[in-house]
Amino acid sequence: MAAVAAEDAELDVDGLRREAETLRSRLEEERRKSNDVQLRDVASKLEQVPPLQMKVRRVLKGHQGKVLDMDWSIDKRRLVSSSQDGKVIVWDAFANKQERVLSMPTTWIMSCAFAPSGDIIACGGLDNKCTVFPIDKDLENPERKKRTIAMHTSYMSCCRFVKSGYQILTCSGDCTCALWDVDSSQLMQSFHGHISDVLCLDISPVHCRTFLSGSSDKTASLWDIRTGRCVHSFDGHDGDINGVKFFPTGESFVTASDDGTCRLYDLRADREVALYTKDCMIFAATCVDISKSGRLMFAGYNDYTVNVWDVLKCVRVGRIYAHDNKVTCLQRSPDGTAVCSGSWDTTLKLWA
Amino acid sequence: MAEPEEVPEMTEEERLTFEVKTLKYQLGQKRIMMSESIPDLIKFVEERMKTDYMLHPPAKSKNPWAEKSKCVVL
Repeated sequence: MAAVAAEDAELDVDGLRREAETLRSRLEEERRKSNDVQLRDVASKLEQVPPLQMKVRRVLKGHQGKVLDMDWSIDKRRLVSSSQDGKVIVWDAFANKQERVLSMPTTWIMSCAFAPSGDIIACGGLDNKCTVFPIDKDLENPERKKRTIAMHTSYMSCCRFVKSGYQILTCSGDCTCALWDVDSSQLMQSFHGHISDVLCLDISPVHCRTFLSGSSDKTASLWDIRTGRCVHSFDGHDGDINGVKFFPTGESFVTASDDGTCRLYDLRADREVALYTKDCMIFAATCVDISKSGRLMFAGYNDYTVNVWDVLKCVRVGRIYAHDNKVTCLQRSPDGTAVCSGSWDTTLKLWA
Repeated sequence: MAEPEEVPEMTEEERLTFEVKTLKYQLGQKRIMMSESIPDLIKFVEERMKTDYMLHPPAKSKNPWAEKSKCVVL
């Protein structure tokens, strides 16, 4: 009996797999239909962007190991960074000062995030957890007040606070993303669909109802935070997706991948719109962000550079020899005045 | 305080059932043509380019990240 039941289940799984395959090719067909013009053709009439004048304004030194992630505070002045050496540093980037140095019991703090309130930071990584620290000015030992608020069954690759409300999104090597209540440490929603490690996430800048995820299954997905539903899923990349970032409209987004390319996807047309690559570029793109207007895209690469792309004309307009080792993270400041990059060379640099 | 619960895992069958449901939903979504979405995208960018610091950096005196001159006028 048991053998028959197992065989039935196997048949079900095979049937489901075939059905998914058929649906996927139908979806592909539908998406092809909206491809009636190319972005680079429409944008060819536009004027070129003015020459870039950005230069390095601050070099933040303090980490003893590879810098793995950073996140700006909404006060546009402070930021938090985390490192392979198990340290999390809160910086006054403006004054180039370390405000707080927090030590974690484990190494490889793969992600860190600044709460919108400005007085809490979150971090985690190879410990499979997300931990929060209060960082109020008069607090002497924030380490004593730390709390674990999220738990995955594999490493936590990224965490970001949801702007409205006291919640945090995490993603993990366990193929899932999850939404947690910061106060009660309760799992509010889990997001299933990726079939390999989820490496990055980004919350919609327009509202807090959707977020993006990128995975080593080579797909990027858009999720409905409340229902847990995967609203869009895109393939195209030929490698891990290391970075995702919403376009300021919330209706498009960009990705950075191990395949050395960045791509632009449009949610309303439900398809890939542009590819950012050059024949000579063979190194992985690790992180990506967009200027305030959306015209420029900054992407960090494993060849130690940050490349600047004209999003509309789909051409590279600048190459910054940013660091002495792989660039791991990069984020535009909330007011759009600066870009911060972090690297395996242990430093963070501010470009403006 | 209690540790948070771990994110639950799915069996292969659960995952595939979920995937089929998701794909059906995605297939039913409305799509617009690129000839409609691209001009919207370009319009959005062009309206904001003038105030984009990365394209038009502010004068040094107004740039919050510019190093202040260390010379003092006596």
